Amino acid sequence: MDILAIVESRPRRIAREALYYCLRALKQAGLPSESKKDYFHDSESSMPTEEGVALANEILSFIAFEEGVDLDHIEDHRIHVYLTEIAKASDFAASSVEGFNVETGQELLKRMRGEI
Amino acid sequence: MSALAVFADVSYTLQTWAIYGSYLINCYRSRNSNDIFTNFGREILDVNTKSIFYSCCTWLSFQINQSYYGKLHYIWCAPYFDPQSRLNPYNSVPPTSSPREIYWNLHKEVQAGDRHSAKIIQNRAGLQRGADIKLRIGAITSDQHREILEIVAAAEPRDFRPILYVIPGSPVAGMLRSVAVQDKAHVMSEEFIIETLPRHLFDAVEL
Repeated sequence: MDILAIVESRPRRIAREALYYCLRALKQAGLPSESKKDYFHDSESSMPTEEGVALANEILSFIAFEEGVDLDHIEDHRIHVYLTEIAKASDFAASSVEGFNVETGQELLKRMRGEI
Repeated sequence: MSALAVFADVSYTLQTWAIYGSYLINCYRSRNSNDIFTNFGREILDVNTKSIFYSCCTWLSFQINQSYYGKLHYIWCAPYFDPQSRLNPYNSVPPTSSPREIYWNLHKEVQAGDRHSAKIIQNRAGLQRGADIKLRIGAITSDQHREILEIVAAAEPRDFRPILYVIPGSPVAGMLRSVAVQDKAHVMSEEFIIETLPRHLFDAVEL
């Protein structure tokens, strides 16, 4: 089982939300408590949903279980393995939006860069 | 200036003086009078005092905000570019939130060109999350939402190169929101979020 397997049957919006929280949690793993932000809360316009928080906690528990230690004690190279897994799952959740076409994104990016 | 802006400005000033006060108390507690006077002259009276906020964003984030979010920028910011510098007052901004550190660490990862760098992964997810929120609150259409996700998916490491926002304090005083910290004991946090910073209120700089 991996992180993609956990999220692929969930609503895509909830999956993206939960994966974002997981990235924020992993980014702060091992930092002193005074440096840590609340990874569920940013601002009033982005309040977390119950489903997003529950799924994030499920994924973080899965990671801690797999590693046999809490997040703060996972080694850096293992953190990077999970970051990559989350990125893969997050790209999957984004690309399953109806009508999604990465080639359109490439064209829009070229315009933004002033290449066309 | 609105009453809210005045209140935020006064609140910020009080907070700054509270930090100075705690610094002096620490010097006194150290029982080293040299420290008190040396540091008083060098690090308190001569430090930077302008109310300017700094934020490190990415080129892609800047472009998406400009193109899709009405030139309104969602940013995290701190009142110092380099919080560790002796030219700034004693402060509570951790190195992980230093705009200088964030800028150069991101710059290094972008230069390496690794699509799977931790910072690029985090930035990509942040942009996806931002698009989801904008759709949820009705700020963009579902077509625009899909376009943003397509752009983010197609983005290359160079599109995540850092841009520094330099934000004069007074015009944004009423827009600052404190960042929620896990440890609520650290109430002196000097990190802020501005949810909708208009483009005309900051300069964007590449170092």
